[in-house]
Amino acid sequence: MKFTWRILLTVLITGVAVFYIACNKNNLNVPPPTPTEASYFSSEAAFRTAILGVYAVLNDYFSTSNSAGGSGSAELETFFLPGDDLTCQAEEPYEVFGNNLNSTQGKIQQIWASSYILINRANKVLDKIEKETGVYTTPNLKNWNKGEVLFLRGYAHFMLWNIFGTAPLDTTDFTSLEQLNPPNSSGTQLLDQAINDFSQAASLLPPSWDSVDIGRVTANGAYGMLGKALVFRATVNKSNDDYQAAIAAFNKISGASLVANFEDNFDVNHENNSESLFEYQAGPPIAGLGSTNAWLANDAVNIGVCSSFWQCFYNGPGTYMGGGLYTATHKFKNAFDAGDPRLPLTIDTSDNFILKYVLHGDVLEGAVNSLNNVRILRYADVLLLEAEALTQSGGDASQAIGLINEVRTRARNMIASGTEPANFDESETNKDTIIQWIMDERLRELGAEGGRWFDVRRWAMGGEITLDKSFFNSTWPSLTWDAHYLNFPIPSTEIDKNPNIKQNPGY
Amino acid sequence: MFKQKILLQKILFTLVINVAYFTVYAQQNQTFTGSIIDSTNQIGIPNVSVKVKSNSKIATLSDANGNFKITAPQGSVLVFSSVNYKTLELQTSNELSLKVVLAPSSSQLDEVVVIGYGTRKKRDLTGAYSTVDSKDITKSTAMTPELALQGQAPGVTVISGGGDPSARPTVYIRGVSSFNYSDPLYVIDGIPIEEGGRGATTDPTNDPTRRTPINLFTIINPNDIASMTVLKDATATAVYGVRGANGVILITTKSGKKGKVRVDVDALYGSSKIPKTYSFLNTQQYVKFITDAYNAHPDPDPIGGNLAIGDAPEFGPVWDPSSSKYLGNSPTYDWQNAIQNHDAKIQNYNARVSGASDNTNYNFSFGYANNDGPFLGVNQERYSISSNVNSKIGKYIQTGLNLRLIQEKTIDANIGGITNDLNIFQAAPWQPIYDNTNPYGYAPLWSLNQPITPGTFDVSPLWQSTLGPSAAMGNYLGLLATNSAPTTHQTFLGSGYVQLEPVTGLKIRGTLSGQDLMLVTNSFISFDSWQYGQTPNNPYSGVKNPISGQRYNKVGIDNSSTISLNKSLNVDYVHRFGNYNNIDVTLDASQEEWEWKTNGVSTFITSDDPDLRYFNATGNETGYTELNGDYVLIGYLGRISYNYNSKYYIDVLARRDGSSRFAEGHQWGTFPAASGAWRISQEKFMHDLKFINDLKIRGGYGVLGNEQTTAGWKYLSVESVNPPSYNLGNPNVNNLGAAFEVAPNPDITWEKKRSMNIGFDALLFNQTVTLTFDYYHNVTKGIIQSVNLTPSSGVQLPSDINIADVLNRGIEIQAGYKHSFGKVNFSVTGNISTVHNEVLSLVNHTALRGNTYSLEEGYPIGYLWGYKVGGIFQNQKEIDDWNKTHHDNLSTQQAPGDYYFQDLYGQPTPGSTAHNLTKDSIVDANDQTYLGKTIPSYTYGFTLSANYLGFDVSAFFYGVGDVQKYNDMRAEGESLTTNGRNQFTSVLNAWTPDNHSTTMPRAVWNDPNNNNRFSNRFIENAGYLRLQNLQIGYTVPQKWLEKTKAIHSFRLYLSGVNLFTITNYSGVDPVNDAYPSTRQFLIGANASF
Repeated sequence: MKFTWRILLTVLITGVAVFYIACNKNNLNVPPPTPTEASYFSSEAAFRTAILGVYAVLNDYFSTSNSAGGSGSAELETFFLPGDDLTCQAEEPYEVFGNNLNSTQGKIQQIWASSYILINRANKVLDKIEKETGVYTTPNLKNWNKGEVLFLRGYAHFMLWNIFGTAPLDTTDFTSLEQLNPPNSSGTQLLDQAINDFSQAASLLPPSWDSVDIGRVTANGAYGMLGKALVFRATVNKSNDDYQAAIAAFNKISGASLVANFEDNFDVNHENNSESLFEYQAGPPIAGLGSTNAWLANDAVNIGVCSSFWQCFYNGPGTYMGGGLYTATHKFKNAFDAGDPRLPLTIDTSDNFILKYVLHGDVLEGAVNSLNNVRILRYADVLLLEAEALTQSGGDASQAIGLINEVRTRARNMIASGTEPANFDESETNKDTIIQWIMDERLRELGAEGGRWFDVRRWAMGGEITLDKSFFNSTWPSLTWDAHYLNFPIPSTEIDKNPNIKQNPGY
Repeated sequence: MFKQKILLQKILFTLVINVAYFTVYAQQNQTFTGSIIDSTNQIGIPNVSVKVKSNSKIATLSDANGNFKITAPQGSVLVFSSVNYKTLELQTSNELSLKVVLAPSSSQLDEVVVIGYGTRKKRDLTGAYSTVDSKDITKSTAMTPELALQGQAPGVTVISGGGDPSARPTVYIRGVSSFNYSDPLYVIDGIPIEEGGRGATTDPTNDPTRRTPINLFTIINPNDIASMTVLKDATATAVYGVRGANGVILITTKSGKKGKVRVDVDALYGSSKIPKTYSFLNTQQYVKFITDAYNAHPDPDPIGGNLAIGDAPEFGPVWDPSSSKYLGNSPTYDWQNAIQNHDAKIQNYNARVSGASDNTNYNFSFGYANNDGPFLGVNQERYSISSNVNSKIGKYIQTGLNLRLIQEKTIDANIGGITNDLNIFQAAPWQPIYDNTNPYGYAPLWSLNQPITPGTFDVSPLWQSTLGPSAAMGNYLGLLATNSAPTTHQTFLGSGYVQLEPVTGLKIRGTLSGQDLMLVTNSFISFDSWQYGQTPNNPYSGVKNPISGQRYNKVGIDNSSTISLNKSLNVDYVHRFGNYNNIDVTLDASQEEWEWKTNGVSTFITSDDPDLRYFNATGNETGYTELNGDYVLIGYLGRISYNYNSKYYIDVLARRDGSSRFAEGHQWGTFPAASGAWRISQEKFMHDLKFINDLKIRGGYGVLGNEQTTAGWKYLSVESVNPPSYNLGNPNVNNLGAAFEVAPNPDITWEKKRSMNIGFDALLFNQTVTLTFDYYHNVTKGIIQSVNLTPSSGVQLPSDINIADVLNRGIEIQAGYKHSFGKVNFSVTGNISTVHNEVLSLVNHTALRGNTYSLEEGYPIGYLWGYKVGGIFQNQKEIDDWNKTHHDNLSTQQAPGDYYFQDLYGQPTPGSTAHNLTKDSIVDANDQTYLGKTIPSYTYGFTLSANYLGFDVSAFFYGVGDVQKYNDMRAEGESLTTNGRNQFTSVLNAWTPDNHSTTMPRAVWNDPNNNNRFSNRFIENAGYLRLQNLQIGYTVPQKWLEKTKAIHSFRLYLSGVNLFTITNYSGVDPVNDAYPSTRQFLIGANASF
């Protein structure tokens, strides 16, 4: 009898224990500690936050720290240094080209990676916007958000075309490993994509945003970039239609105007002004979080730093990442009329230091970064592009010259009864002369703003200009020029992994 | 069995009584017949030698059935001996028919080995196990259990973490079977130890990780360990299935033994230092060197010509010999000497009380250790207590409780990202160390601008213009004087069980166990420390509304805790039927849950008071992070072990495991294994081979699952833990964004390791020789790799993918020999293990390239990958000739004294990463190739020991062979291009027009030829043989101790650790260049009362 009880009790205990330990398979479903993509996009606020995540990749282009594509290093070098406006005190491959401009260069790898991070985030949000039902209740907001994301995706494609030329096209959300290893694009495919995105965005975006959202892209920004990209494509393809389409896009910009004071374009106190169509919003760290060391990506938190990197122009402690400052080439300095009011606001003629963005030393934060926004597209640029489009497409020459003069007039008027720069003769009809005026005016007006190389590159591709060593006016005798440098090398980080991609010729 | 014992005793008793009586009689011959049987199975034992003790010429052997016949003088003492049995002496009487029962000798074969869920005698093992017992562990004087394993267990590779007492060693068993995480599973008294965030110090998926670089296993006092068993093949490890794929190390702690209360006391005391330092340039040599290097590639003057070094922006006037501040006039400071702790002590004390009564055994231990690192400021202090009690309650119930509490305080060689190690040799030799005028006594790197006001921050023009921020080395001693970052660990391990034995042989055990690992790092960064840091950091940076003149110190706290709870139910039934059939059935079900949480916060405080370094001192929290990862495993196990007469063995088992780390549908895996053994020496036909005392042939095959290589939730797209942010609005406000930075892999599932093992265990030549041989062949299928996707995917963080198959195969031999020369007992034991590691396949056959390593089919994991040096150009003609047929894409300027690199391959065909064997005359990234492997082909260890009277001496050697290493330190010290940091004295032999070196290129600023690209220039053979431990001991004779009536045993010893290393490696230590293993001299004592 006792024996039976013992067995019975044992079986009972064992049974209960087995049931308790092993039969609850739901125990394996442990929820993750952060929201999942599947559950996240359930409110307008969530979309807003995710879209800010797309904008945030602009930090990689214009800020020094926490680059998602690399770390702790501004990518500015890759588009500021080539071209004929700037020279660096250190011998940088982006300026002197040559063998050091190769696929292992970290900055090339970073700007490549960052561009695709931006595109990937944009594609994901775009996919969610298109699939959502019933989340958006605010009128028009869905369109506006879609427009923003398209614009940002277009901008990244625009950058990729200008830097690499043949980088892969990427327009779908990355959801499967099957999508890995895309092949190169060719021709102007990247630019075509940018134009499509800008064009769609322009039709969706609002003319302006509420004060809390200032800095988000507007319809004007999209039309401006659309026109710019069309002019770029037209320069290469010689397409009259593109020039016409560009003019049409520029004409849809409404309410933008040149600010009276040229300096306002680089002044932290006059950000997002009427001339500015799209800018990178640098700013202070998140309140309460303090700032982290801008030099390091491995700080305790990598949020809180959203500032642009202007140490490349600023003679502060230390030089640019152990390299040198960017200074104006003699060509850039000499491009100005002596009395051009823009000159003292652009270049310190005694030492060739660049003054744009750093004229007021007080904007530097931590002696490294700046709270000053980067003006990515301003109306002066649009006016000059439109002048170019008009001239190239056989439009009204005097109208085109008038647009150049609009830019010059603003400069001249900064000094009461100023005489320089004088207006160009509006009766000029020689196309080459007008184009040369435009090219030179673009250098004077827009030099050292990070767009010069893209201009030089497209003009060279379109046969407008011929590049040689002397064109760049570098202080470095080691500068070597060859046409293959028009496209930078596909980074080794991509080449080593992606068997379907081909290196650009010459590398 | 019990009856036979009584019978034997009866016989003996009778015989002894009769001795006195019979010896009186005159000696006559008598003929004795009888049978000799095995006490365990009552089978006749053949070949037993039967001799007359007084006249060994009278001798015979038992026949195949164990029967014998011998004629001996009346009253003789007969000696029965056989290698596998205890020798028995028998006083004969008039009883002429004898039944002799021999008990098996207690050879190594009777040692009880702890296996997964149970114990087994060594003779009955069918899988691959290695064991290390407490004697060897204590002898190693190592402070952590893994280091005690180094070289002792074949198949186990232990790579020391260096001289820091709390550094993590790297441990892997039978090669590296996975890319990310190859650590074995540690099980302490049945509790699997798992540390949250393990796998990497920086977890790319959850950066920043809160796992400290401190070794978890410093929590275990090796003196508490009774044995360590390493489970290596599928049958052995499958019982821990889920987490056993990388092998399992079972640590069993000591428990009480029957007898009187016993008190053991161990003490160890000694000193520790690094054996070698680097030879660096003095100030004069350094200044000349850098000036020459600059002149070889000077900066161009914008006006034309070149700038003199004194005018170059990155140098400045202090390099101008005509300057009054010329650096060449500065003294030389020896930083390597200054940062060492020349008085580093090692102390380790333990006390243990143990005992057992009929129903209860107990063991209590207390330990204290205090170890200095070889560099200043590094220390580890540990208190440990443990208690192990097992008790029988009534007839059917047994219960036990095992508790362990460890409190440890660790200060590692790292403050604020600066590490105190031999990298300091790179400090410019003129960089002063001490400064009497500085409040802390150390030389600041940056000029003082006191009081510092927010927004102003002066960097010393001298430092800045001379070296730039990246060239100076932080003054670690100054940082040490101002900052602190001790880590406190508190670890609690506990397990309790209740075991029912309702029927003899059936045991049902329910176990509840858990661990709680707590880590707290309290950091304090003094405002004043800014002057010693190597980057110019405004101490006010980030302070909200700083008040002028107000000092802001930063305090931070980082917590990490891992809490686990394991429930298991184990049913074990042992039964014997027929005469020879033994069966053991085990069923087990378990659920293990882990909760891992880390959080960190920092703030600024104005107080300098060391007692007020906590949060609410001022309360201005600046950053908070929290991470967590929970994790659950459920597993079922069934195992049937059968043996026939301890001759034929078969083990069959199956597991079914579920892991929360995979998506539903991929969570469960089934993993079978089987093994068998044949003790061939038990066969009659083997009995003629007398030199074989025991021989067992084993073999097994099984599949193991592994999911430790994935951090969890990789099947889901989750929001990034580090949100991006962007400014918007007027006024500008920084807004948090959101990003999904991982490409989820919903199909991710178990890695499956197919493990095959064949081997034998032999006991030879009168048990003087032991030999174990194993061949293993493991293929891990579907290894989970964290893969950084192609950048064009735009996916930022790596995805976990079942990506590759990897082979590890090799042999393991363990051998021992012992012999006595008179009173000198001598023994040698050794082992050698080989690993052939090879990546068998990768997704799409595409190689994965890292910066300096590569994963590629047909090559070992993580092999070194880079350029191959061709030679050094000796003159311009050689350069011109070379350039006729080649072009180096990575070079901007070639001059005599520069390297040329080999053109090995052409551009790969699109779609492939395979080398194109057609050379293209261009030296570029495609010419990177195999340069060496980082997994040693073989590791070995051997111990020579001898004792004479009370003296014992043992020497333990450890070595690894056929392994290559990139000598990072030499790559810095012989870079010949230096950003201002110091170089090895070997650069004095650099190529110059007068010194046509063929091994050391020219010194040149900025390295225009890229001589420093990752190449075989700095790859060296890193094999070595080290005298790891030499120990001389003296055990006080028992008879002296008996007089004390208190001391039971006493041994005193001297030990030298890491006394010499034979290696071709040029660095200070083939294992760790910056933080070499220390040389230690220790004195110790073991006493028991």
